[in-house]
Amino acid sequence: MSHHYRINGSMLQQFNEKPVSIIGTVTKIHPSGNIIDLETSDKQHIVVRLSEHVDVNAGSIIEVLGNVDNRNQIVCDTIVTFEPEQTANFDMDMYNQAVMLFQHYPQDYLVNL
Amino acid sequence: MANQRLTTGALLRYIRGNTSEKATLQVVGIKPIESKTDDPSGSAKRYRLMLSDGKSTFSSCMLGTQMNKLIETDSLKENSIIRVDRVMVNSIDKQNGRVMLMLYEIEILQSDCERIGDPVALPLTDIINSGTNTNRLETTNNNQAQAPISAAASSATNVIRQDSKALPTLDDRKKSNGDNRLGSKGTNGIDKERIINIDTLNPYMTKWTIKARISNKSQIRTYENARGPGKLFSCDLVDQSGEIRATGFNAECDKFYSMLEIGEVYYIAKASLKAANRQFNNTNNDYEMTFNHDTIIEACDAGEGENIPQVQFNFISINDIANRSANSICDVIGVVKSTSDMQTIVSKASQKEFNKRDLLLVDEKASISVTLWGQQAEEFDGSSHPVVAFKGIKIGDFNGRTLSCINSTLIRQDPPETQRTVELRVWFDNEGKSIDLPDLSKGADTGNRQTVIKTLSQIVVEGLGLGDKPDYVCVKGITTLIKKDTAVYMMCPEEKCGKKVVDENNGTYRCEKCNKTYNNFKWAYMISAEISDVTGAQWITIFRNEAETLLGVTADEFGNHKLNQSESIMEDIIRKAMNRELIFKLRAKAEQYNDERKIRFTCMSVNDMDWSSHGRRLINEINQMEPIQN
Repeated sequence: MSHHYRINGSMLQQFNEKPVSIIGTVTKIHPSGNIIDLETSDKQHIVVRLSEHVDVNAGSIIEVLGNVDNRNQIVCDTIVTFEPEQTANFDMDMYNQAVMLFQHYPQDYLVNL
Repeated sequence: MANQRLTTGALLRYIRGNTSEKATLQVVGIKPIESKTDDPSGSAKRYRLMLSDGKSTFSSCMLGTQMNKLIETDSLKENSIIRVDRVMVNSIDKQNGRVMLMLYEIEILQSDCERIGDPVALPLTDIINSGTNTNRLETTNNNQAQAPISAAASSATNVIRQDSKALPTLDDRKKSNGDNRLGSKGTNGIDKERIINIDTLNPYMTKWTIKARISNKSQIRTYENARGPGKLFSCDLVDQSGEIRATGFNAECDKFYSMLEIGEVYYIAKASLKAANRQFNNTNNDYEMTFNHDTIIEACDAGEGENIPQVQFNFISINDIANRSANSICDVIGVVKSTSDMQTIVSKASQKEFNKRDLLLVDEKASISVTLWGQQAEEFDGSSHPVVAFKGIKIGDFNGRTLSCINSTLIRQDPPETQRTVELRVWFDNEGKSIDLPDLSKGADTGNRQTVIKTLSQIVVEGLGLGDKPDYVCVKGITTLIKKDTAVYMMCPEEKCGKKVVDENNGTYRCEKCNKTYNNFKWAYMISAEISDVTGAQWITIFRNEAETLLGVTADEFGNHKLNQSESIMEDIIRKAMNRELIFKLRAKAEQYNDERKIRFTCMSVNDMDWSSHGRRLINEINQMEPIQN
């Protein structure tokens, strides 16, 4: 059972080598298809490295599960994509506030799923 | 073995300025410090920790107040092991070894623990000799290795004799005669290398500079107190990280009032910081600033201040105002749907005349009445239905909820800092101007918006429904059980009767209430359903439209399935209605059944979850649970 900490862009450094979950908007897809640039809930840009090519659209919201490596990038093992209808009303700012609450009160939010 | 867990040598490294390291340390002492504050309600406690890295201890470590509860809940105690995630060094008086470590973020690795090792206090000499702070100290070190140690141990005059120029100690600042020269670097005025964010300012720092825009400036006000007459003005300073209130009294008032212009950006250094006085100051900062004799303010060159926002808004939706308490302050934005004429009222208390103007402010979900006073009222023109943002406006509870400007309220028309301006403009021009929104200022307890949300256990604990009048409450719950077989009943076809008819089994149906026999009947819903939430479960009854909303079919359709004995179709309908998370508005009323008094819950409405507003409500409630000093 893996426990992925939900974080945003600014928290990457703190979670070095830990399993994390990041939700963000795909801004750029490297031509090779294996590297994507993600704008996180706190409007930071981070780099996500995929082990294999995944079909995501720029501008779509995805969830990335993986580990933070030494270069402050995410080595991704799972990507969760959503239908446009599902993310149409997603309040990214509120998600960011939620993520910060999880950090602020770690004793009140479960991580082990 | 235990020693390996602590990061030996880390304390000295931190003091030397290497604050990016995330060391594991042990708490060997905790001391509460009462912070001096003008705020009568606040007990701004601050905890001072003595930390050990296994080899050395350091006793001047201040814990960020947002982590006070770790100590108060006994998670952080003596011998706890922590990991320091964010720390800063404050050199109060480096020459004499007075530095402090400010702990901004820590994580408790182990609450209960044995004392690790036998650490000893860091020698003063190590602290003084660390770092690259003053050039002077390094040169003396080179010449006389022993001298600094004895200098620190003995009086300050020895230190001055070592070198001809005066050292920048805390006392020297007062001797500067208004000539704002910093001793060591010889710089005249602002140190632009040291610009920090407004949200990191605290009273324990000495050398800092901020680059901020004046978002609001008050008039000069005079006052009289025991010390005689005085004057002051206040302004709000804004940068990318946050905002802070700054006040200039007497001499500083004269010096800076005319210099500071609203909307312009300035470098500011050397002012006093203290806990914010919540009576007068509603800015989003624990501290407030006071300009003093040493304060330096320099205008920013044109173009240098472009990245500083004009003002910091923390908007809440008009809807949410219903959830806030009266007399609290908030920021809000909306479109001016209508504006009243100027009115003059006379205060009963003071017999003074006041000019005021009311306007109706709307956003996508609600509307509210806003009152402007005095000059703001006179100058306001809402004829173009502008988008207007209010910062620091007071919530009143007259007839529900209203907003009223106070002295420090900032009004901005069509503010460019927020996307909301465009969103509201587009929405209003397309739909908003022609629809009628629920008005928070039209009496309390009408409509869904005013009905407060509670948990099922709260309803029981608070005894809702036990009073003479029925209670209305909203619950976020999941349908866990629905009684299929009794979902519909045969109802009297007479308008407004509603009573169950008896099936005579010969094509006629008898209604006892009307005392008539009919040839037909109507199917009607009376669903017994159980809803549950995290705190409990409750049976409720759902009629008419609400039932139709829940099941997705009319009573008639369901009744026909029942007549046709289409069990699987009915089961399917029920199944689709189960396990749905919805907002139920309930009417709770106690009713007498024989000798028992039971509370009956009737469903007044069923609505889908609005996750956005639910999330915002939760964030609000969580924020209200924070202690005052946060």
